[in-house]
Amino acid sequence: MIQVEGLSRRFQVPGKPDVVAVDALSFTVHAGEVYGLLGPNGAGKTTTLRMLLGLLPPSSGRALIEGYSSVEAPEEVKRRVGFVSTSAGLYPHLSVREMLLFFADLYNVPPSRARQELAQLAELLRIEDLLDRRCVTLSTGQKQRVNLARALIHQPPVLLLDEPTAGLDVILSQVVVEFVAHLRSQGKAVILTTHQLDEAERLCDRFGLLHRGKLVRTGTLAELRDESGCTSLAEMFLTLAGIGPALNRSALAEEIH
Amino acid sequence: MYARLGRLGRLTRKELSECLRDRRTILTLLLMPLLLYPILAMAFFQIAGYKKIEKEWPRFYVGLPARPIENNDENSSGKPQLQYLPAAANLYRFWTEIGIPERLRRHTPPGQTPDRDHPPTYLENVPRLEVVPILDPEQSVREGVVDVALRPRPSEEPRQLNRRGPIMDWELLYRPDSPRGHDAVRYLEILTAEANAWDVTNILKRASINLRGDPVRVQAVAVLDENRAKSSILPILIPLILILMTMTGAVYPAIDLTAGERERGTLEILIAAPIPRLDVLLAKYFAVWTVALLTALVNLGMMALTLFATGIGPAVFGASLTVLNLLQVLALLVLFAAFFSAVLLSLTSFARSFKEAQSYLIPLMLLCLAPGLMALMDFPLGGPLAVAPLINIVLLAREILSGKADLLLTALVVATTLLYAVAAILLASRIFGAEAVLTSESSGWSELVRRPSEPSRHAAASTAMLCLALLFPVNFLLNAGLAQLRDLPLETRLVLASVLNLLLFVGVPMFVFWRGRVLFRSGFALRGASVVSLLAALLLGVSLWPLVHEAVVVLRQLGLSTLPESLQQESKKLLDRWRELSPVFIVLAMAVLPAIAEELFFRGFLLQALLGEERRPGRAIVASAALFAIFHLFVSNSVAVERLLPSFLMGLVLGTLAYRAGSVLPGILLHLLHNGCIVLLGYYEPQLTEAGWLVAEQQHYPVWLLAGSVALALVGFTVLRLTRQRVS
Repeated sequence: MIQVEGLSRRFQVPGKPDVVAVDALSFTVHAGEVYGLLGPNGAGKTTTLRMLLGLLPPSSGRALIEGYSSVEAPEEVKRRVGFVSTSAGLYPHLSVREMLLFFADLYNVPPSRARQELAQLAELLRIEDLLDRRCVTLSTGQKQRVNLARALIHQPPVLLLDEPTAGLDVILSQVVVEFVAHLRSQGKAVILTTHQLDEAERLCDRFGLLHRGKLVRTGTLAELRDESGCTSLAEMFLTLAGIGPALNRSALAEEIH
Repeated sequence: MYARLGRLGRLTRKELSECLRDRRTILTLLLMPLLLYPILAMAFFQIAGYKKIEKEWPRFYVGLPARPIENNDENSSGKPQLQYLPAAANLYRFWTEIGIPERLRRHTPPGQTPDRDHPPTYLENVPRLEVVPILDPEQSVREGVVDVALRPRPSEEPRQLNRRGPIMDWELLYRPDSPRGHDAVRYLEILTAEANAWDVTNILKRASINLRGDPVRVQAVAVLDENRAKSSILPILIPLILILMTMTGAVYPAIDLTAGERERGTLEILIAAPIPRLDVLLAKYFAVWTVALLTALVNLGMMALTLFATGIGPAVFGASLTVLNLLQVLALLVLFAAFFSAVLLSLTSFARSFKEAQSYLIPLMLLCLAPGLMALMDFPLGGPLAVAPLINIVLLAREILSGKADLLLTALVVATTLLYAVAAILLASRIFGAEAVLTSESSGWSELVRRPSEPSRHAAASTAMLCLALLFPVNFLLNAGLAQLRDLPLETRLVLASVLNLLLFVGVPMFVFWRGRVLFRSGFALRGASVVSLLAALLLGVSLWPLVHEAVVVLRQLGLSTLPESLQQESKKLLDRWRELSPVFIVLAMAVLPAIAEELFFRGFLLQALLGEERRPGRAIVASAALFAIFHLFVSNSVAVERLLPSFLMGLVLGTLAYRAGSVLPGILLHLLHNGCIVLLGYYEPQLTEAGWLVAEQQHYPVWLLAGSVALALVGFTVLRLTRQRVS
């Protein structure tokens, strides 16, 4: 479903050597699988997702969604991907219904099917009562539900969730947890980025640990435990990344938490 | 196609409903005009009223000595009633019944009857005399009751009619510190002199002495300047106000729909949707345009209503503000809004936040005030100003409102403005949601103009269009400037023109290529060409020029010419001066170098850029030909419409050739042969006429030449079809 092969991205910095944000990433995600792309801030998670979506051209390597390359057929790729990010906002002066139908239109969903899909998603995410309210009047939790509905309105086979729980409390995070479970049951291929490792343990089937743009280890939780002898992901991450002396370790561990 | 248009419509509707539901949009849309125009009208009344008072002559209060009426009954008010002294009343009549009419008669041109209500302008508002009965002249002047008071002059001798001396002898009392007093005295002295002169003439007449008239006569004649009378400040002020208001209407939606997307966090999910960015931007463009137009409409309506309701319309426009005028202004505002919305979007697309967008727009707004000032300074619409963005719209508005608009110039202004708008939208669609705007938090414009790391095969279409839009006025200005350097020798001017030509048409693309890391060879399509394509170029190069010449002549005879006769004559004179130079030099400067420069720019840089992005070559060729034709519309300082169609057709031929050959070289060959033939024909015209090949003073070419050309051209086109298409 999702194939990433040797994907790299360099950024130019005036007067300095290029920064390698993503370095030769390779992994595969199958239908019905939730893949956790984990790493501290600045590890290259968001850049990877943007390249997968065709928003950023990779410097080398390629990313395929259902066989379509994000560079050669960005429109085909975008059509097949639903994208969620907590930083994503809503149009304040549109009603929830208008906003969702607008996105359905952007994805070329026929109006009758869009209305059908909207009704189902509203029921699933419990936003039926909000449909005719302007987005500007919604609370954080309500906005988040609308955003999840927005990402699914065109029934994409692939979902990219960029830090979907960042800034949310435990109760609001629960919506995301249920949502991801729903996606898995629907047979979608999901990539989820986060730096909250306990949450990742609950949500993901397989993991890729990203550090300074490099994928330092991949596998299921059990595989990773066997390999490292560590019980928690946080502990494991530090060991697997082979991060130096204790002083630095504690600093990184703090950052991860 | 229809589906795409339908979706564009729905996208526009969404953007519009988002804009119009915003309180801030409504505020500028409705509230501003509701307040502005009544306030402006009030200001107008203040200024106009003030001017009137200043212009009006004062009434002079003249105190005439009087005495109380001896009445048996007491007056009810308790004041004694006054009666003028008869002598004083006589003097007053002397002034008003003889002095004033005489003055008027003297100032009326011979043969016309004096008209008291419409005196010559310099006598307009003749001071009015108000008489006030007074008892004590000195006291009433001192107290300021009157401006001037009469007092009988005390004389030592008794007055006698037959003795020398005045019949009436009065003093005019005034206060030296009162300007009105001074003016009143001066005026009464003039009236006295007029009346005295009349009296003398009558006495002489009675003594049968007829004067020929006055020995010296001066007559004031008003010289009218119609232009000055018409060039009121208002035809420019009104469009300027409307333009400024339209701008304020467009600014907020433009920022909200571009920089606002990023600030709200909707930009990323928007460009993650599978929709061409141009469509997203076009929808935003139409929404901003619509809001700008609504603002313009509301403003125009409020202005018309204010003018109508307050009755100052005629004072502002003469009596001529009609519905037609309003429609013309509206059409201009439609054009202006189309242009300004595009420029706005291309600027605000750079911005990552409202604040940043606002800081870009303030210089733009200030820049937009400059054209208004130019229009106020009475610059004519024409020459480079006709293609200068924004300035041309303001100047055109002035021409239209003062009834002097020229159809051709209007078309030119509309065409160039739309061209600028298209370039701005293309630029905006490239910037909007671009990597640098999307990913960086704080970096500036340098990100967008930084050299890309990967080389590309051709320039971006929007870059090429932007270059063309900028070259348009620059080329025009340079040519106009060159025409001013008449003192330089012809060779120097020709060399200078060639260098400038190369610099613009080759130097600018080369700079673009360097910045954008575009490969020179593919960017200019500088590849080797097949023999067949070169053969086609050769055949067409020597056969098309008589047909092009005929087309221009026929169009001129049909009256479709706009090139002034004087310029046609001038070019003939220029031809005579050419003949003093070497033919090799002339061919090089007038045929070879322009051919290379234009081909590299239009069929190299521009066509390759258009071909690269448009997958439809037909469209790219037609577009490049149209732009090529527009570029050839200008001949020194004027416009030659008759060149439009021939240039367009030539552009099609050259574009097709370049596309099929996959190279710009055959086009250069065709172009330089074509130019070379025309130049040489002009150069050797006297010799050819002498040899009997051409007929002097006849514009048409001989039939054998035309027939031969058609035959050769047909062969050329056939060969062109044989040229195998090269897919790069």
